Amino acid sequence: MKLKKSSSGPAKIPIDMTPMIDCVFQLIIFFMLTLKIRANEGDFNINMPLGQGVGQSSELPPIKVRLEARPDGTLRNIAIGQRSLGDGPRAYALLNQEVLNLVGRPGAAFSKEIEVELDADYELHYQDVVTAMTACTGKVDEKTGNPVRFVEKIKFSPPRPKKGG
Amino acid sequence: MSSNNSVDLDMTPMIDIVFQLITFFMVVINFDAADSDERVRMAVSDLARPPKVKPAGELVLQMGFERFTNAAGKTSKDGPFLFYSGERIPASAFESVFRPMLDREFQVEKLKGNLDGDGKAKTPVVIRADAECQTGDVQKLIQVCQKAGYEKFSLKAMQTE
Repeated sequence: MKLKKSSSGPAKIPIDMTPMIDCVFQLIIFFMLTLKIRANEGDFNINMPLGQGVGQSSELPPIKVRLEARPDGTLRNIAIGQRSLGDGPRAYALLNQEVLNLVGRPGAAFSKEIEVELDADYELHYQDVVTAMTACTGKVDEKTGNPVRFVEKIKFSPPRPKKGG
Repeated sequence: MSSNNSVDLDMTPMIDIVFQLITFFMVVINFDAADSDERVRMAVSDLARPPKVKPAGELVLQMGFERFTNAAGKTSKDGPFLFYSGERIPASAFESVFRPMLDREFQVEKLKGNLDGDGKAKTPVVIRADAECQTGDVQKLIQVCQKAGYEKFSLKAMQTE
């Protein structure tokens, strides 16, 4: 048998790309449908050994923050020590400033030791507690956008009883 | 041009882009069911940032609501519940239903030798609670975990967009 040699250069082996492209598009569609764009999650670390009383975890007395709730679970009042700060965004800003005044300056050695104790009503919405925790632990640097923490330790007081229950 | 007059398309650029897209989606996609539970609408915090070092092991607890929308478009919710191990545990049953489950988890930690000097679990408990949960219910959950031998807690919040 005589082999014929193509006159137009070396033989080109055709590769059928269709199955691969089919699979690749299926993969893209799968990933596009399962993708969920979500905001990043962060966390507040709290260390709460069982039976730990007030002031036992640190040599310094904790900064006590009282969060009072209305019957519908919204915030009624924030108090730091004996000072009442009211409610709403202004109260959180005042709380932030009060804690900063007590700590001195962000990043001070003192700030690693000091502890904030949150004493919230049972009914209070968890969002208000997270906002209070945020106000107690630090602030976002306006220039860099990075968080500046001035308190590292947060803990909760024992839960208060449910009102009317 | 081939002999039967068909046009040869150069597929290389398209395949390049398609593979780039696949790589992008593979990197971005998150299969972690814990991070995508629609029943938990997380609280928002300006200071919430993802941890730089993720702990080797963690016990994730999700607390949220079952939300329903009726024909009139009005939304109602039932709960809060702790969604754990496929079960829906109300706050009133934390001690009776969830505690035995947690005790079993603690025994596993013990068998793994994952306890500290005080006999407490080294594994942190990550609490993903809905913003509308009552704080007392979250505290009750923390108390149950404390009694079972956990003392490190991490309260999750969503970064402000």
